[in-house]
Amino acid sequence: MIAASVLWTALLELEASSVGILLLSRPMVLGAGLGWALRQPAEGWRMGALVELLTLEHLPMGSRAVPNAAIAAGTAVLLVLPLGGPPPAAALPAGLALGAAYPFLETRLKAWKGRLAARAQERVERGDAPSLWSAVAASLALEWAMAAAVLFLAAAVLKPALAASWEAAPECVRRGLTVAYGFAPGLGLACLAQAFILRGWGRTE
Amino acid sequence: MTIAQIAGIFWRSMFLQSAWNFKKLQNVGFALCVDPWLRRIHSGEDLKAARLRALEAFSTQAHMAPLVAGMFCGLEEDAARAPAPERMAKRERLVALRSAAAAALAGVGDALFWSALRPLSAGLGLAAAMLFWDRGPETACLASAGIMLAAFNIPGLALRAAGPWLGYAEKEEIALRLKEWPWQKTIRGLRLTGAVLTLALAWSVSAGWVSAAALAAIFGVKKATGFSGLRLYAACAVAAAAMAWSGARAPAWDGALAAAWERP
Repeated sequence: MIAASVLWTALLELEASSVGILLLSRPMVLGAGLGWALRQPAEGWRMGALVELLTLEHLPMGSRAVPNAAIAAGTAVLLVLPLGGPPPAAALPAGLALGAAYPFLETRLKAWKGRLAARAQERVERGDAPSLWSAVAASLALEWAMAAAVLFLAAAVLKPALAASWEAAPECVRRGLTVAYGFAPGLGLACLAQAFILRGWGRTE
Repeated sequence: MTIAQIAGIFWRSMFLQSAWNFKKLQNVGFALCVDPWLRRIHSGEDLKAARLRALEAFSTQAHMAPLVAGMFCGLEEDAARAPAPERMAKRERLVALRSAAAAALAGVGDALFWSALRPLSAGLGLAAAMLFWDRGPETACLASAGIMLAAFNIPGLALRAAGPWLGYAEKEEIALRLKEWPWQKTIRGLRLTGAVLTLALAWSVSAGWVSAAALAAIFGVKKATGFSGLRLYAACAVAAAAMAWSGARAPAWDGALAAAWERP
């Protein structure tokens, strides 16, 4: 079930910025779905909703590298579910950190996609058909494999390591992460409010 | 343009960003959208030149791309039908028009879909979960995801489906037609709705005046520091850990907020 969840989450991650863009990969939807698959819908949704609100202000515009919310939510939910891993107070920051670091890999992937685009153009210049579907399929396959590898490492390696670290961590660290997790809903609502209020409803940029 | 051709552009526009690259951005995705149309109206060297035009650098907001694709198809067809002396000028013009339309529509699309509709959809999803929580977590999760997806995708998919036909019908007039649409009012209305919804959510999540004050304080700190949510979350964890390490008492209201979140 975990392997299927990883592969399915990696497939949904493609939807974040490459295919469709129908919000199927947004954390609130993805978290609920993963939670459902792992028989804990409430926990999955709760974790997804927190990631959703905390990453809401990062807009996927142009070439801007923004934290990958699908990877963050997928990691956080896979760390918490099935129960028995690290507590949500440790899983949420771990997921957010991985989501924030993921654009480093995405940047390399985009550079590689540039070579595929150049190859398609060369084919047209030679007078051949441009093989656009092949370029799209190769891009998506690599992106899916990359996301699946990261999520698999999170579920198979990070989860037990984080659970063990949590037990061994000093009390002040555990207290700090627990307090921050307690603040997360309020912080998330502040992010949501910022999306509407601080930007002002008179501005459209 | 037939319904099948419109459906073809709509379907292919789903892959617009699949091969996004730093040099020419969405060029492969755009060429994928218009390639069947180009093959229909061109052949030989003309087809090669048209494909190279489609593969030039291109960037716009994903929901607006079918509009530009429709416009490009219409202008390509006009250029192909034009007498030979006018053809070159028409083709140069269509490349410039494509870039101008893509940039203008990207601004509107980003403001409408990313800055207004996406946060509003998230707020509606959150509200749905809270409303349906008493009926069980399964129902609440389903309602949350369903409402979020519907709020974003009903207008998004409608615009994407109508885009090729609108762009093809209006061609270069599309900029004038778009000016007539009340984009600004729509965006303002969505943001106002979102602001009211957020206030209602904050009130229902906060467990009494103490945590309502905590929410207001968090909002104030976020506004004052300009920190992103992620950075503020990390700062909160570090500050609380430092307080615990120094023996100071951590604030009590974080528990109230967490408890309210556990039982919406």
